[in-house]
Parts: sequence; structure tokens; C-alpha cells
Amino acid sequence: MRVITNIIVKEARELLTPQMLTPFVAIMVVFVFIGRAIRGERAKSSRPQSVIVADNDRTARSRSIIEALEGEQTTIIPAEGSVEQLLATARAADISWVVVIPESLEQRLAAFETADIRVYNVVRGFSITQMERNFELKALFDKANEQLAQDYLARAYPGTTPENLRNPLRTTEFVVVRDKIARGNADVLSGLVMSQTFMIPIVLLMVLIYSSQMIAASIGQEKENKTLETLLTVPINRTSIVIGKMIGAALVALVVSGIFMLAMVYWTGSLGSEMSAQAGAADTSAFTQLGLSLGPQSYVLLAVGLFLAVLCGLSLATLLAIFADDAKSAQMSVTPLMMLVMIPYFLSIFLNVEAASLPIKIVVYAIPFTYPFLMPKAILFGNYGLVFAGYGYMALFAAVCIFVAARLFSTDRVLTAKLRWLRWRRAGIRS
Amino acid sequence: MEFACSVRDLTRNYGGLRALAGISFDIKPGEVFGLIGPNGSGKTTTLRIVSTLLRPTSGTVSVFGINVAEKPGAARPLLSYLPEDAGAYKNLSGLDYLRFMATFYTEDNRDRDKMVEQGMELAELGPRIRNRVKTYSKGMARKLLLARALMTKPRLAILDEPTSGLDVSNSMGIRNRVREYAREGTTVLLSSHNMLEVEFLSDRVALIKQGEIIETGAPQDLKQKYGCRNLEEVFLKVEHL
Repeated sequence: MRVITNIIVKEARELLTPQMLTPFVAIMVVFVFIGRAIRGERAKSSRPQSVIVADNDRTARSRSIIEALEGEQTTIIPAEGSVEQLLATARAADISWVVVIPESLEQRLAAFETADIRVYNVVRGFSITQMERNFELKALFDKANEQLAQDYLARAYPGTTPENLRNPLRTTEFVVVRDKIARGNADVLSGLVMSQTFMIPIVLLMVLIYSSQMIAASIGQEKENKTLETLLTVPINRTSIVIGKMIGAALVALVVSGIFMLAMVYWTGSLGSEMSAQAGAADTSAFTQLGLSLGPQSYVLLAVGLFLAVLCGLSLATLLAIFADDAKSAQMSVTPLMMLVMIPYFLSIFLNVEAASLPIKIVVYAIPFTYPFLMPKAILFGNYGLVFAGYGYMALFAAVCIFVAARLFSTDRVLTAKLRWLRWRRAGIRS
Repeated sequence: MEFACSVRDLTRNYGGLRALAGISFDIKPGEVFGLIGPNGSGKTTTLRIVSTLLRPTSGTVSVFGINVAEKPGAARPLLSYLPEDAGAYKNLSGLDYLRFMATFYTEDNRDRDKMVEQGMELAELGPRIRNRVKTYSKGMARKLLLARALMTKPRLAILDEPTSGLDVSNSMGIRNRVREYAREGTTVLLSSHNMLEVEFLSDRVALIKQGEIIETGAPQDLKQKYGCRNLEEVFLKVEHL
């Protein structure tokens, strides 16, 4: 244990240098800056917006429409004049909306004809927050239209409920998960599930990539700086060297990932809470009833999966880095591993692996990194068979890789092994 | 008599290239044995096999009776290897590097600290021992590495080009240190293409060319035998025989 601790501490000190940390901290600062900017924009967009309204009709009906437009997020500024004058006022006061109600509004509505309300949007840029504000105003007009339609129906069919006439069929949605049924909307519940799991694949991806790069860099540096030969002649078990290096690299990867995660969490801000905020109390209740909430036990299962995946990544990266000559080629040598991590990452986003064809399933399930990406969903849906099969497969994969890496470290191949394709390429260049 | 190191019919191939073509030699305990030869003659391959880094293609190497290919784990505590172009961990201080290496050779921290003290004396780096290795000159780094190799008091020290790339003053310091350790009982197997250095340090030498030993003996005896003033002349004469 003393020997392994010695190697772990050395690895951490060699890898965690200011030169290595500076780019990550710089990226973190950039992320925080972007996060602040986005939050600022969001705060601005959530402030009530002013709408200039020119009421050329001046009737009870036009006033009721203006009242419908006025809400928590809008302040109505009455105005008069030509469109040009109104737009000039809007530009001067930094107001984005000008609404012009025509003179004949009430008259046309009384005759069940459509009335043309003109809405001028003063565009100062194109962004998501700008689009969100457009939707808000459109929703207010929809509300006004709905109110008018109900008034028509009330007049045409007195004694009835206009709402029932407009929507004679009512749907009550239920969501069924395993053997549980709860009243709610599947899309909203999906959003709630996403809000608690959307960070898991990102964390997984980052930890896997960084830990693999760290161990590859460590072995590459040992070769490049000619320290490996000395290390291999000290009287310790070569497996201890491999394990010590792997643990050291994993710890450094955790630190680096932690820095990134802090930045990401700040950047994404309250994305998760926004998703859940969109859901009502009924949906939240359904979410709990269906057992879709990840409890402490679920997080323990996920953590074990993450640990085994990192172990697979480290052991495979160690194997690949053995064939490298220096730090640069060691970093390159883990490219196949990156592919093996990226494939299940994207597939888990875009594809339901369980419903895929058999050949795709075989390929995907043969990749050990697939399982941790599928685990959040498997745990939520009670598919513990996949979780434990994943544990078994990843443990076996890591054990085989560690065994082979330790064997290679125990022989002189760690010093003499080279990528054969490089020889072919060189031979090709010579010929 | 048990030899400190016994090499028998040693061969080593790298793919189609034969680096060693069946060399044999013995080193007595406490002896300084030098391998002399030009670049690419097989010196480093020999030292790497003796130090358990490489496996022989055929033949045997024993260190104090232990076959290094069969029981490398048993041989490693007895030896210490200084590769020609070895480096130390650049982000550690010299002191931390010695401490890191000493941990592998000791059972507890008290023994480790004693070994590190010995290493600090050997390195002669003064307060610079607390600076990071990446700030060291080549001479300082080589002194640190030699201190690392000798502080463990190995029974067999294997030194590959111990003064490679160093100035006269640093080279002399290192040579004196090696001789001092040899007097205290450490057996030394060294290689160099600097034949004058080997002549100064070695009790006996082996002249190696293209993976074969072409002559063995004490420097004085070889000079007398071939009527030469130094080992360089001996080598030139022998290689053309």
C-alpha cells in the first residue's frame, strides 16, 4: 500500500501542474463569463415589457382586448399618431412592440368578420431570448382571441357553456411506467426525468476522456523523459506500478472534471430547475407516484457504474499508451478509446438501443462504455438486469485489460512495443 | 566462487537485427567492470538485460546467483541501474525525487529518510536539492540520478555512460564517486564509449563490437599485450585483427 500511495502521490504531482491546470481554469472562467451573460439576458427578458398600443377604435371591445394584452409581463403604453410616429416613439424608448387597433374593430367583430390588428416588432437582434418574448406576446393575442370566440358562442347559444362547445371532447392523460399508472403528461414527465439525469452522460463523458488522457500522458511522459526505465528496475511488483498510475490518473481526472463541472453547472444555470418548474404540481405528484425520482440508492448504482467505466477507460488507455513513444503519441494512441466513448454517448441520445436491430445491439453492447450511459434510464425503469450485467461486463473487461497491461509491463514489451502501422507507414515513405 | 554478475552466451535480437551475438563474461564481487565499444555495439542492450529491463533471446544472466530472466523480482533489490539518457520527474524537486525512489527500497519512513540523507550527500546539490528538477542543468540532473543509483547501496551498480554529456569537472566528480563506492564493496558494471574514462575507472574491461566481445582483461594487461599507450589504441588494434 505504501508503494502504491507513493506512486499515486507522484502521479498527481507530475500531472497536476500549473501549466496543465491553467487552460482548464481559463475555460472555466470563459464558461462563467458566458453563464453570467446568458443569465443577464434572461433576467432582462423576464422583466415586464412595454407595448405601445394605438387604439383607433376606442370602444368597449377594443378596451377589453387591451386589457387582455395587459398582464404580469406586459405594460401597456397608450399612444396616438401615425405608424411612423409610433415607431419613432418605440425606438426612442427602447420598446419592441407597437400594436395598432383599427377604427372599425367593434363594427367588424359585431358582423362576425375578422378584424386586422397590426403588430409591429422592432427587432434589435436575433436571439433565443428575443424569440421567447415574441412567443409571449403571441400567447397574449391567442388569449384575447379565445375570449372573443367564447363571447361569440355565448351570444349565439345562450344558456350553454362556451368552453364545452369549443372542446366537446376532453382527454385525460395517464402515464404508465412498468406496473404503475398516474395521471399526467408523458412529455412533461420526460422533461422532469431529463432535469435529474441530463448531466449524468456529460459527467461520464468528461471523466472518461480526461482519465484516459491522463494515464496516457503519464505513460507517454515516462517514456519521453526516460524515467520509465529507472522505475521498471525498482524492486516492486509491476502490477503495483500499473495500479498506482491508474489511481493517480483517475484522481487527477476527477479534479479536472470537477473544475469543468463547476463551470458547466454555472453555465447551464438552473436549466434543470427550469425544466421541473415548467411542470405543475399534478405532474410532480405523478412523477413521484411512478417512481421516476432518482433516490440515494439509484445514485449509488450510478456511481458504481461510473467507477467501473472509468476503470475500463484507464485500463484500456494504459494498454494503448504502452505502444506510444512519447507524450504526444500517447495522447494520440487513446483516439480509439475516445471513439468507443463517443459512440454510446451519441447513441444513448438519439437511439433507443433496446429497440435497435440485433447487429447494432451486439456492437453497442460489446462496448463497455455503453452501460453507464444506459444506466440512468435502466434504473428509472427498474431494468436492474441491464445494470448488473453492465457491472459484470465492465468488471470483466477492466480485469482483462489490467491483466494484459500488467503482463506487458512485466515483460520488455513496454519498452520495445511500437505501433506496427507506424512501421508500415515509415516503410511506405521510404519505398 | 559466486560471481556478482555472470553472463553466458547472451544473445538478443530486435526483429531481424542481432544486437548481441552470444557474449559471455563474469564480474567478481567488488570489481569495476567496463564495457567498451562504439555506439550500437550492444553495450546498452547488455546492461538492460542485466538490469532486468529486457529479456535475452537466448543465454543466461545471473546476478549473485539469481537468474535475472527467471527471477527478475529477486534480482532487482540487489541492483541499481542508471540508464544513459535517464531523466528524473521534472515537476518534483530533487529531494522529492530521492524520497520517491527511496520509498521503494525501504520498509518505513525512518529508513527512507536515512537513505535520502545519503542521496543528498551524494548529489552535492546543496540548497538546490529543494528546487524542481526541470530547473537543473544537465550536470546537476546527472549528479542527482547517480545519487539515486548509489544511495540504495546496491550490490551491483549498472551505470550506462555515467558521465555522458558532462563537462570535465562534473565528470571527474562522478568518476571519483563511483570509485569510492567500489572501494566500499559495490560491484560496478559500466559502459562507455569514452575509453579513457573506462580505463580510469575499471579493474577489468571487455571490448565489444557488433554484439561480440572481442577482448577481455585488465586495462594495464591489455595495453601491455598490444603494446599500446591507452585503451583507445588497444581497441583500434584489436578490431582490425
